[in-house]
Amino acid sequence: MAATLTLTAPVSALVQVDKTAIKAGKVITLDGEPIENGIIVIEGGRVTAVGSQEDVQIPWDAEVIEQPTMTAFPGFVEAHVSRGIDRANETLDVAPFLNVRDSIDPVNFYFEGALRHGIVAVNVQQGEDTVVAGQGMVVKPFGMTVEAMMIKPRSGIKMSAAPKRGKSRATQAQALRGAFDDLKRYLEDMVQRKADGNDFDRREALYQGRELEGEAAKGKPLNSTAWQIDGFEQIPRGEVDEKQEPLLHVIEGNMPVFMWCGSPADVHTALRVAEANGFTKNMTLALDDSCWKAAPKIKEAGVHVILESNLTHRERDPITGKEIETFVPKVYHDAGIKFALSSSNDANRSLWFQVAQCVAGGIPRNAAMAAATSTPAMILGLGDRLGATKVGADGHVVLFSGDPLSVTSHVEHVLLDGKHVYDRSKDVRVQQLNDGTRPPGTVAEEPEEYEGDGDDGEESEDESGDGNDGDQS
Amino acid sequence: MISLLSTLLVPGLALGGVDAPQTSWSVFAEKVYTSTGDTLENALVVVTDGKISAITPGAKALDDSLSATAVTAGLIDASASIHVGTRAVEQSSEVTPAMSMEFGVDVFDYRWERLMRSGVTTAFVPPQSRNVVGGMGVLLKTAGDDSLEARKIEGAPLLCGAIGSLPSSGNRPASGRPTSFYNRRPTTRMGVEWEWRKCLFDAAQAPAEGAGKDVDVLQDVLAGKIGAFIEAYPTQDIRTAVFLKEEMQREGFGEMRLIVDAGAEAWREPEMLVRSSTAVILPPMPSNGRTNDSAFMAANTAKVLQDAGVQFAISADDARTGPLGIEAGLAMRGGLTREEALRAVTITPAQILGVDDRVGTVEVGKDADLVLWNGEPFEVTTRPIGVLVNGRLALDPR
Amino acid sequence: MLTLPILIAALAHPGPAPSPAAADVFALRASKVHIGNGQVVEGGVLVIEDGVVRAVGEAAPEGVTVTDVDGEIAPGFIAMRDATGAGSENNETTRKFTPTADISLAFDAKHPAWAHLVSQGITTVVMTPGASRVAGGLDAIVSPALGEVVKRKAALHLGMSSRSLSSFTEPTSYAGLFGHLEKHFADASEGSPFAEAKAGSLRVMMEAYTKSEVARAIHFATGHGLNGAIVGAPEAGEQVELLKSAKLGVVFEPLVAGAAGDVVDSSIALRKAGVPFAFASDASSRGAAAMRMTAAACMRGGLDAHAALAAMTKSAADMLGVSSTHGTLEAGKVADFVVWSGAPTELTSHASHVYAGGKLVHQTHR
Repeated sequence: MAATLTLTAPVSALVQVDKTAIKAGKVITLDGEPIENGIIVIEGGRVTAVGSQEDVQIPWDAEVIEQPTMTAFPGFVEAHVSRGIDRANETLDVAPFLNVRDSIDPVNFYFEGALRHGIVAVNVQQGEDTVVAGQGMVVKPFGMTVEAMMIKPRSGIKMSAAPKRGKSRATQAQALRGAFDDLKRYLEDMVQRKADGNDFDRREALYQGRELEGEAAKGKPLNSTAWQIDGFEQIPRGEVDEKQEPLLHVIEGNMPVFMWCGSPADVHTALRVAEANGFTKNMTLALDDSCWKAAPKIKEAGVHVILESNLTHRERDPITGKEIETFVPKVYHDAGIKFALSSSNDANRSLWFQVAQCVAGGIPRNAAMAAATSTPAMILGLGDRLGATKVGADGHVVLFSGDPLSVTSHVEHVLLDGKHVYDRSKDVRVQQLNDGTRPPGTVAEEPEEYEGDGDDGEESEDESGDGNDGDQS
Repeated sequence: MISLLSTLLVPGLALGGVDAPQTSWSVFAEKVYTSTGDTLENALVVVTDGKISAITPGAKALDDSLSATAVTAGLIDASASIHVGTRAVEQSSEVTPAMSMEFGVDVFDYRWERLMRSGVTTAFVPPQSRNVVGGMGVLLKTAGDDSLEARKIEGAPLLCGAIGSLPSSGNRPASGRPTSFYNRRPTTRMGVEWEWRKCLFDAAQAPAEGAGKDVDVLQDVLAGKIGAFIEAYPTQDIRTAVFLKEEMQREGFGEMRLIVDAGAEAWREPEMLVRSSTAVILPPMPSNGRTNDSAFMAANTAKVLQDAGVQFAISADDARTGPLGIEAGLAMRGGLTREEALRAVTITPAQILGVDDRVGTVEVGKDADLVLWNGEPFEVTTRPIGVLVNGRLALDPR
Repeated sequence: MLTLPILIAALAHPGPAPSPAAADVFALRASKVHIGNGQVVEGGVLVIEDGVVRAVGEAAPEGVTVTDVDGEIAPGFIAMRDATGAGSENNETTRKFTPTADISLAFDAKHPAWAHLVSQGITTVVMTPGASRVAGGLDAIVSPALGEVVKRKAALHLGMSSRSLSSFTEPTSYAGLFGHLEKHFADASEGSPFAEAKAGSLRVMMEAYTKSEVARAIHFATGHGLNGAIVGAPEAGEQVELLKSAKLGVVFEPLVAGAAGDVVDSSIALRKAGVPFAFASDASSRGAAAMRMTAAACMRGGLDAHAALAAMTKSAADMLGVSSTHGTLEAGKVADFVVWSGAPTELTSHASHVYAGGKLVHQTHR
């Protein structure tokens, strides 16, 4: 909290003009070849010009940021994350009416760390422990309020094909299908009530405080490729209960779905449910590392995927006991499936690291880079705004000290919508992480409890000293 | 004809079965990082019978050469926890100097291959840090025949132990329940330190002969013939280790050779480490700096030690957090040059482990432990594509 | 219908009647007599005198009536490692080292479970101390049907696996385990089991399971010049060279569902390399038929029937040092044999008559 404040105050004071030009030693646009000694002009928060120093005229009244040794970069896009919110999931199985807007914490350290590693947009979604969870939103990792951070509200609904805690695979699939069956039953009942002359739904809508005028007073046929409900066109859309509405949007293709799959088997459940309810085209699969085994099926369905942070799937051969390693992104790349990457919780392994690992794993650099820029932007429906520096795109620029994928490069500056929001030399926590020193005036934090290194399970078993150990058996 | 047929039928046979594995190769790389300070351009490294027999810069690849963008010596992890867990340390007593990790490693463990794939060719395995003095560690190559005899290499003998909260974590005073051997000292950091001093003082005062194997080992530690390899994360524990060494010196008991393992907070007092000629092994770089025992490891720790002149090596533990090459990269992110990072994962750990005559550099006469990289070593965009261990191709780049 | 024998009743009910003229001499003719050393006599006649095999041949000697039996005759099976009838009395849980403990003292000849083993053609059983002791004591060879101890102090039983480690008594580690063993071997006083094992006059049975444990056990055995066998070692097939050079045999445990492959492959590899192996029975936990089923599984994987039979007869006797009296039907050996309804190693065969010391001890009426 303190750090965020110290970081923003001096910087935001500097940039009150709304024209900014960045002169960098190199500009990586991801919209063509890199430009040596390039210029990016941002006006009113949007990129208005990008090109070489010969081609681009800097407006006379623009604030100029000149960094001849640095590399300008459009910034990374985090396609799907359940961080920066206070709790990832509800206990409710089906809760599409919830919105992460109500749980995003702008001062959460996650956003600070994301900005520090050159991430300019984050799709915040609820967690995996659910059947149908709430609606996510795309935000910038900077701002004192959710509104200030917002890039796109209602980026999609989170669902899970993998068993929620306490459920089996079968009951999870049943619950997922059930959520849509319930919607269908509700809509059919509405039609029936209307036919019976019952105005219950109208009264309920008014009670919920809705305006039943204009568009809301009109009925429209159901726009679904999979469903048909006769007479639904009679129902004024405003009368549909606000708890049911989000899933209706899913059915009608107006609401993207992010479907978590914890195993290859879940992929089949996800595709079946999407097919039956006509939202395959709007669905993106968020995949566990083991799901590479379902790649042919995913390719066939034509959906895009988001990979969890662990990129190397490991399993033991049940017969030889040997470890088998699979570099997961390569499988999708080779299959021609569009994939987006996710940062790891480990601060040292943010999106730049994930992209770099893809290059190490044999994926061409451009394709690897796309997985953390243009592909997530496209998945989020923000392809023209994020993921490349081009005229009309959001005015986000990240200045790296060198090649964005080099282990020795750091993010030196970040501009969001043309505003200079991050300066590494003023980042108090970076100094602390780097050399352990704490600048005067900052409050010492309590050391966090170390969470162990994975051996703990094994150790604690014996720690008690009198656990039974098979000695008696 | 017949032999050809059998090779076709049993593809694995020629490689690992009937014939002895091939231990002579030529390796070509655009850059060979030798760990001696030289980087050779377009160099051909010739391997004969498991040893490096010639290195020619400015050469061309032979028809059958293994090729890579870069080649380094096999990486050395000076503190790899590839042991059998709690079975690897005898917990019926807190001081067990004569115990050997030869019994605590499993050469059939699948993690050896993972380590090898990450470019590590030599690894030192200390016992789990559950005892104050756990026993003698063991040094192994990460690939080769599946037997301890074939894989073990003789280095400087090192007695391993720990200072900190871990050695006391399982112990408790006797109360209420029937007693077990966990009802014992130490239950605190002070107790851990006391155990160290007690066993060393006792050994110093014991007769030179016939006092038992435990005492023999401790006497050799005091004489500096066996190194003391002590895990200590926070600075308070690193101090305790250094003060212990200095106290033994003052008492005239001898000159201990001290290696601080997992010295996350070594950056806080590098002068103390220089003063006491203490070598340091750094643990993997944790997320946001926090390690075991509530220590804080700054991102520039390796750089601070480098500038202060402390002898240090970088470890990836059992490569669970990430490969050793990435740890070296993170040290570069903290300020080390590539050459410095390279030394910290090759020749320096070889020196600390007393095997620098055999491994740690690309030089004629050394073991043919080589890593073939598909780019600049230690960049995240690079990975090992080939590994030779004692001249045997453990990871095939072709 | 399987009739479980009661020894006295069985004696009163001899099956193919021995010649009444000479009560202590009788002869049986079967379609095949498996001597146990690899030799099979077609239509052979087995002559028994005073509980001992007199001869196997084409015809009976003068004056001895030959009774024809329906099936094949084979030596009685030898089950390695069993504690049936000893209850928990084979496991001294308060001590990890009880090298002189004599398991034969825990032999309860009247225990009803023995009959199940006999009904599966098992005439000799090696009783062992529990696997969770480091030096649990001395193995004993017993004849369950006769209620006799065949040999006391047959081998010293050593636990070298994680089963001998615990987290609340020493040793807790492999180093501790071998450290203690080394010390006991070094300090062994004359006449103690450790000293006899070192001198080679007492065999050792070493429990070891993972390849790493087996490697350690072999290393230890070689270092002290021990002879005997490894008990366990499902992956022994991958360590044949080591076993061969150490001149150690292997006793495989009964198969467990889900872990079938290793023992099957290993038995074949050992057969090829000429490393002797036998089977443990563990009937108290795995059932009396487990040993036969394990041998059959190995055959299903490619082990030849001779080797499977030898593993349950001759190899086991060799391993225990009782091959002069047990394991084959050569002249002069104890007349422990079984009349099988078909081939002795096939699961489709049953033991129709079981003889121990020349006495009919079990009979199945079908």
